[in-house]
Amino acid sequence: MFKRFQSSDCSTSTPVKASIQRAIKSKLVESNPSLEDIIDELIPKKPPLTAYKVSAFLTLYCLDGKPLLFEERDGPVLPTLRFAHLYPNLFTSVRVDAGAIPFILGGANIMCPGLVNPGSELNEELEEGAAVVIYAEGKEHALAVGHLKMSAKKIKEVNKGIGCDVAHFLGDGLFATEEIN
Amino acid sequence: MTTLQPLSVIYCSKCGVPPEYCPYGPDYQTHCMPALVREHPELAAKLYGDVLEKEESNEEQPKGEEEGGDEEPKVDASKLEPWTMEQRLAAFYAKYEPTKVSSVPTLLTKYEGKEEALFTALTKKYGDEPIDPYLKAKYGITDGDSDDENEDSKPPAAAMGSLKLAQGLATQKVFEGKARGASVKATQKVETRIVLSKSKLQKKKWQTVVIGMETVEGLKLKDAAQAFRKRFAGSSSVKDGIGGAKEVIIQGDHVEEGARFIMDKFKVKRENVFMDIDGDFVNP
Repeated sequence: MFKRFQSSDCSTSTPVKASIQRAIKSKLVESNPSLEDIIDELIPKKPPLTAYKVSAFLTLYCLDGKPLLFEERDGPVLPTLRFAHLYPNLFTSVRVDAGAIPFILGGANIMCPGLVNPGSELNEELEEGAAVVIYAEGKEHALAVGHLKMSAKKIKEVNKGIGCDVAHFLGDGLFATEEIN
Repeated sequence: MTTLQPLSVIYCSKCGVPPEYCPYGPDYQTHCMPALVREHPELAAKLYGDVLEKEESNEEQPKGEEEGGDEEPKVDASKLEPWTMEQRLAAFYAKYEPTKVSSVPTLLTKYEGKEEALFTALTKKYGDEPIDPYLKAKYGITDGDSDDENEDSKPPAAAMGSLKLAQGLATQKVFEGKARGASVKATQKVETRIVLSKSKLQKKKWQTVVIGMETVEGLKLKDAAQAFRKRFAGSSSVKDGIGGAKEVIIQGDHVEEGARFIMDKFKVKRENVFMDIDGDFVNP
């Protein structure tokens, strides 16, 4: 989604209304239950986030010019990688095996075996469409964020095809954009 | 957990990703690893400890191997010599597939002229390439693909020169099909170049167009416009110019004053500011 992203791709910037910001936060808490108590500390009420429209269906939320979250159409609200790096273990995560790393860094979606093979971790309770931060076997930092294409149980059962849609990965345009101006 | 403590994450100064992912990028041996060893020795020891140690022990071994690959080894003051293509490939197989070391000469003739492609394929299949002790000793000095490396070292020099050169290099990189890595990032660094020109609105009314403000490091265009507004007591705004470049427009004829103001306020060097006066580009 962000492979060729540049700062200049953002068109309009608007401060996010308090009510919408609340909605964003509640969405974020819904997909990351461990955030519940600390969400207000993580994303303070003031100053409000700034929403940048990237295209008709993609919105980027920034704080002080730094991209924090993004949202596609009605999909889940996802943290950017730089944000996820700052607060590891807070976001719902999966772990892929080492063989999948080069493909993900090239921007590929994650195939089911990458989430099933030994070395990977996948919580069985995750539902289809769940927002996840993707870690890798033997690595400390996250390398992508995305959402599941099928439920975790189904991924283990089918073990074929795309298991997780990668929206944003290490080294893509959004990662290279530290600040939007 | 009441107070939230953000983790301080180290990113590779060359390619921008966390260092543990550097090996998946194209220039990690020549750029990322030397930089990491220099900047964060502890982390480097943790990540590449075994590789570095191995290289050290390799150095101690007498180098009585046969020479006569397709490259003349250069004699270096530090006694070490860069690997020939043959040694490089042999070292690779010695690390991953010792049975195949004997087939090295055949492989080399087969892949003559396309050695880099061979190594790319091999790293994809087996993993990271063993590091040439010579490279390690000289940190980031080139090996076989010396043409490539010369280009990489150019941008700092080009920063003094013209923008055209830097742009030319950048497009060259694109043609080579490299999309990631430290060398690409280095060439993408744009140098500061600001052009002020004026255009007529009505009979005696002018506006000043400032192009290239975004090339000033650490400056936001909106802040620049704000500064102009304050200084010249008139309207100033950011507009999309031709070809997607952003321009700052100031009401009134402020070409010369604007140029001086940019130099004072934003600490831009004189040689990087140009005024368009009747078609001539002159420094203020």
